[in-house]
Amino acid sequence: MLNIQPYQNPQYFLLLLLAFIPLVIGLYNGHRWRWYESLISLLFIFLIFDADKTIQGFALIGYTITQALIVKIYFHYRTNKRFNNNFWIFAVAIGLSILQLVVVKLTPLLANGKDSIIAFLGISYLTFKTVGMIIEIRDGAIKEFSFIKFLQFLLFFPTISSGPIDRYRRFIKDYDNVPDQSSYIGLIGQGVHYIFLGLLYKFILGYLFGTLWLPELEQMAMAQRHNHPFGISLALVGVMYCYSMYLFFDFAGYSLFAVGTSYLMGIKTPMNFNLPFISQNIKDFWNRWHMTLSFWFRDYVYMRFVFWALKKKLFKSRITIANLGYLLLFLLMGLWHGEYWYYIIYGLLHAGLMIGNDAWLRFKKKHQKYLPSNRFTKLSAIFLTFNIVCFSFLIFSGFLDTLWFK
Amino acid sequence: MLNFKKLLAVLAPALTAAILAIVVLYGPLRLTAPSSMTVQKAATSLSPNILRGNQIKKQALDDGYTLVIGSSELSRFDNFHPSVLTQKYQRGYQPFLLGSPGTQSLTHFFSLQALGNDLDNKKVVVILSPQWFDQKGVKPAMFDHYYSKQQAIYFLRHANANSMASRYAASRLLAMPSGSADNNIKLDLENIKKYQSLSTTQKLFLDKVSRPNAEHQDQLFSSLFLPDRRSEIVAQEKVLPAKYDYQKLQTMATTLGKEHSTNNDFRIDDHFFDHQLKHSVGSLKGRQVGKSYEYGPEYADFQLLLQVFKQHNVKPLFIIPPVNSQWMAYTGLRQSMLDNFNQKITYQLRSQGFNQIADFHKQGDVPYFMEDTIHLGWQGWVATDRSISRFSEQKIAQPHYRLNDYFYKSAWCNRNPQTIPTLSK
Repeated sequence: MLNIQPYQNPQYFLLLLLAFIPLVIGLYNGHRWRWYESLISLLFIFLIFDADKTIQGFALIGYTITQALIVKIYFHYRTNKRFNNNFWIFAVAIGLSILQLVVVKLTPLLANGKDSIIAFLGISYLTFKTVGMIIEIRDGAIKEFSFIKFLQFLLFFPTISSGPIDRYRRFIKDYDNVPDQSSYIGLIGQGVHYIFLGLLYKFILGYLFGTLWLPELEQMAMAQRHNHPFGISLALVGVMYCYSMYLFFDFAGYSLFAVGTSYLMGIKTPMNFNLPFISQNIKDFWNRWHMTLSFWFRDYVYMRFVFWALKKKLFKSRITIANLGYLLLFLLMGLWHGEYWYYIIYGLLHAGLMIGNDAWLRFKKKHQKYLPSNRFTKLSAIFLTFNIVCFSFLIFSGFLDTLWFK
Repeated sequence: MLNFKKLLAVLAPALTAAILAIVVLYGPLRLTAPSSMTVQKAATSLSPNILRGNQIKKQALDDGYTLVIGSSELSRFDNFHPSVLTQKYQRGYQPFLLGSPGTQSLTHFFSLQALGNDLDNKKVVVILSPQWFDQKGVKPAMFDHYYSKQQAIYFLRHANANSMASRYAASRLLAMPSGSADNNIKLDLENIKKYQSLSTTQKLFLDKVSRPNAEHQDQLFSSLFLPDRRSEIVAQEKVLPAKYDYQKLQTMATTLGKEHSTNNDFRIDDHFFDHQLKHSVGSLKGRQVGKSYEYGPEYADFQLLLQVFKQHNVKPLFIIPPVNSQWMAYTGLRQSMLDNFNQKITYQLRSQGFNQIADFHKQGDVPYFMEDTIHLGWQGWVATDRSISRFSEQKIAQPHYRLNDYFYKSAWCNRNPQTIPTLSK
């Protein structure tokens, strides 16, 4: 049976091109043929989860049904005037909705690295979407719910395996509308541009860094590890930069495909990367790197925590609360990546950097008169941020685990 | 109408790109064969692209090159390297080097089988490093580095689910990350492994989609970015005597070996010692006491190579290099273990009719036979080159190979060499 992972090879893009011809003609003439969109969505999802991935396919079906029920029931609860907005009901809804993800994430830890049978590609990204919905339903921001739209949002095939993470209300606004002809042509232009930029990023630059150079550098670093304290060789520095470039071009390329494909469908899926390596500080970096994920954590974890802590007067100092918020956010993000020491260190490092960055910004504000700010300081800030980020990616890569302990 | 024009302007570049991509990858185009210049460069390039590709090797066979199959020792281009000596003396054989650090039997099997009938009746040379026969077998990362989808596709198109060789090769490839990287290839391999022939759809997909794509990529890209070592080789041959003289070369090899190994007690090349050993030499003392090349999957992988030779009636010469004796004494590697390795591999060869063997495994104590710890150099190259040269000139009788599936079994891989009889020559 033919099995094609999203954006994996030229065949996928050719198939996409063919499937999109009727869809583009429809949208161009002002029609959104939703049945046709659903049909090709199902086809492409089927191609991801067929053949030897069938078990994952069943896990996805089970997951989708439970999530739809959880969201539907919670929506009923929240819109029924007889009930008030009980925190514990909300907590149970969230708990149930992340249950499958938690099991999937913990299974490798408890079962010697084996994957859970209820795991499937993209479970994290789908869970981010539903949890976001439940939170917005609690806030009363989501006022209508339909199974069909929920499914369209959850299983939107261009983003199903690795994001970007869209928000329900934003998505539905696009889905309910048909762009007018000239703005749709604009969308096609942008979409095509993104897809071609993605090809450059993922298949040329990502290939150079990830497939051609990285294994060689890793091999060199491994060969020299006994000759240097902690195995820190020039080759390891090479691994650090090369992996960072690979991570960016591979993932940003992937995200560009997803965004570009969405645009062709008249859906403006948010961008995931915005020139992250010109960030002037670490906060700036997180506003530019894997943006839909960091904004999700910012809005639904950090902000919620800070408001709650302020209301409960958990600490007197707002600064302490904000810092705790960072720790919570980045530890959670680290743990989400996987239950390995290096992801946790990566999370802690970024929490520390954010806390330090805030402290520095306060200091800078107080002593503005004495601190120069010019092109040179800006360039140094970019240089420093870039190197710190690359260092954190070296930790994130897990290569140190191989270098030191394997 | 204005909008439609705009739409066309937006889509035209993308559509052009798509059509070009389809034509280049799947179209019925045949690019011209690589030039003799390219083949000449490729012969000593040691580039992984050459190993992974197909057409340059085929052209090399057509042009009369002798494939020299080995691993890291091939990159030791000193004054006596076979490529240097042939460049100088033009004795009718022209080596085409295939091998780099980490290439072992499995890599060479996939690379050679994909040459198909171009291999028929050819003479080839195999430098059989004892180090290939490490108990764990080829490192998956190393295998992956040289893995070629094109060769895997060729293998699948010709695999026979009823043959032990095909099933064994399929299961070995599946054990490597690269073998399961492509889902379709993975599913095909699983079929073969399970005694199932491929379905018509699977075959059609391999023949009409995967194959042209891989072949066109090979034709387009393999000859790009080849390292050019030709001037390096010309520089190395300058000091050699004008006429081939074995004794003179031996004397010279000793002199040059002495000159180039002054900073250590192992007769190891100075440059190698400085860069690879100086820092770690202390920690390597006694490190190889328990090391063994007597067991492991490499023996079965090697059988695959023999199967290709039989299939195409290839006449191979096997060269078995030694290990530097002084280094062995220092690290605790036992000569008796090397003898056992030799006993086992020789049995695998001779019992199946492969009798052309240049056995150097006891020559580790010949001064300057090795350039460093495990790689042939100076004297070793002079001797190797002589074996190859004689082998090339010699008329080899029509071989009668009798292959035995026993050699794919773990019973063979795990068999104690001391229980193996010695066969007469």
